[in-house]
Amino acid sequence: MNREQQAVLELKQIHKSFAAAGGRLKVLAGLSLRLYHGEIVALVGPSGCGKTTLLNIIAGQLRVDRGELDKSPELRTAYVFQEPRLLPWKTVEANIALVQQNFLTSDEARDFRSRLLEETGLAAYKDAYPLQLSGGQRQRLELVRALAVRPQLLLMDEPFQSVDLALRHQLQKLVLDEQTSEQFSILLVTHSPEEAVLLADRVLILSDKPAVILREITISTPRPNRSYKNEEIALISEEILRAGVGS
Amino acid sequence: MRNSIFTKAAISAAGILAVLALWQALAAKYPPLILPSPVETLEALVELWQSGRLWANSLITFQRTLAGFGLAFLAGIAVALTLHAFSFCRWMLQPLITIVQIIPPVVWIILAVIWFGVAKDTTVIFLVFVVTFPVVFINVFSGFGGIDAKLVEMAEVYRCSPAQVIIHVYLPSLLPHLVSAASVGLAFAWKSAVFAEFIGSSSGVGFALSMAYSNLETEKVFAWTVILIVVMFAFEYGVLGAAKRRATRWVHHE
Repeated sequence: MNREQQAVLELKQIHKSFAAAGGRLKVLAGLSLRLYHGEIVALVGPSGCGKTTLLNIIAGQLRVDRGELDKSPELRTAYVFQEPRLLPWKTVEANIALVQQNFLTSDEARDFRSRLLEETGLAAYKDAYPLQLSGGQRQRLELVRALAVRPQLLLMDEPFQSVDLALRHQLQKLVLDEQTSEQFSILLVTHSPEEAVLLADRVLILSDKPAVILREITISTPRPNRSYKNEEIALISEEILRAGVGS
Repeated sequence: MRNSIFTKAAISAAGILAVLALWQALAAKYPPLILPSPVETLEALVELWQSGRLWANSLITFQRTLAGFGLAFLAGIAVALTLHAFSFCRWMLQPLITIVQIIPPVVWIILAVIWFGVAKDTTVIFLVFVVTFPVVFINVFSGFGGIDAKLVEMAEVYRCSPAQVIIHVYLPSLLPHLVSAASVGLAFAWKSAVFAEFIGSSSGVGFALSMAYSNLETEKVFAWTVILIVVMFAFEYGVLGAAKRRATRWVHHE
């Protein structure tokens, strides 16, 4: 990955707290990060440390208390939510088409949509409603919708947490393939050290809340060689586990 | 599936036949003034039909019901939207709406006659409005509470405009509540229209009922009741049934 490239996103000294019983709950305390064009960054850290809050700030759903968020308003952002957020009254295809129309021409949208539905095995379900799908199918649709807008920035919040292992690997591969051909940037929140070392160029380990970045690890091993037999990957995985991820 | 529908219909029909048989048996014991028989009721229906009064009165009641209910429906949605959007309105108006709902309809009809006079359409329309407005409001307002904020957020992340959010998120979430508001509200609307006409009007089904009552024509009271039942059934199962299935197609779709 070329590090000289431009940052698509930069957070400078972000502070965020929420009203809570007996005062304010500090979630982010002076967090800074930079995400480069075409880069995949994994955010790992203890449960409830503010990772989702961070994604919501970047997605424009939350305002920061203090600090600066540098992001072009034109940056086309897609978000894979932790629990699929599908419109139950729209068919599989209509769920995707609705968000596509804000970004793509109808021909481009249709081509992209059909290809992604085909690749994820959802083509046969394009006229079904979300309530008729299995949990795994809904998660796939959530991902397809995000990829189908041809994003420049893809935010993913533990996207494959509730799908089985085989499907998880299939979807991870789909994300990597799309990212390779479209060269978008990804910010991935995950609990899984395995997922982090498999997908990311960089892993950021966050502290317990209020969250700051404890450690930044750049992974140099090329993706095809990333297995636990590889020494670097094994060491990084161990380090992520030690940081209390998933606890 | 098909079988069970037929079975249900057969059981319902059997129930209605049993009531008719009981009615006929009891009517044989009492004079028509107390309890007219099904046949006498049918004769009264035919007579009303032939005299043209059946249509004329039904149409008037129908129009008043729809006018009052239509206004209540629009006002209920508008007020629910306002209260949803501005919380200070909520604290101010919600107790008032509860008060409107608590006041018995008979008080409203007295006031309506005093304010608008006897034999005015306004009197009937007003009562229908006052009785059905809280019903519509409560259904629609609870519908706003049921809108999933996470879906709205999703739509905003994907740059949906406020108009898109309203059309694709708000309206479909509200639709089942609007249909249920129409269903419950219309049932109240018919009853209050007839009640208002009974007390303070010189036309409509309610007025015809009051004439039949004064003239001791019990069979006509029964005949008008049959008409009201038929109209309400047709509305509930025809128009609203179709709307209900449409509104929740995505739940039952197989």
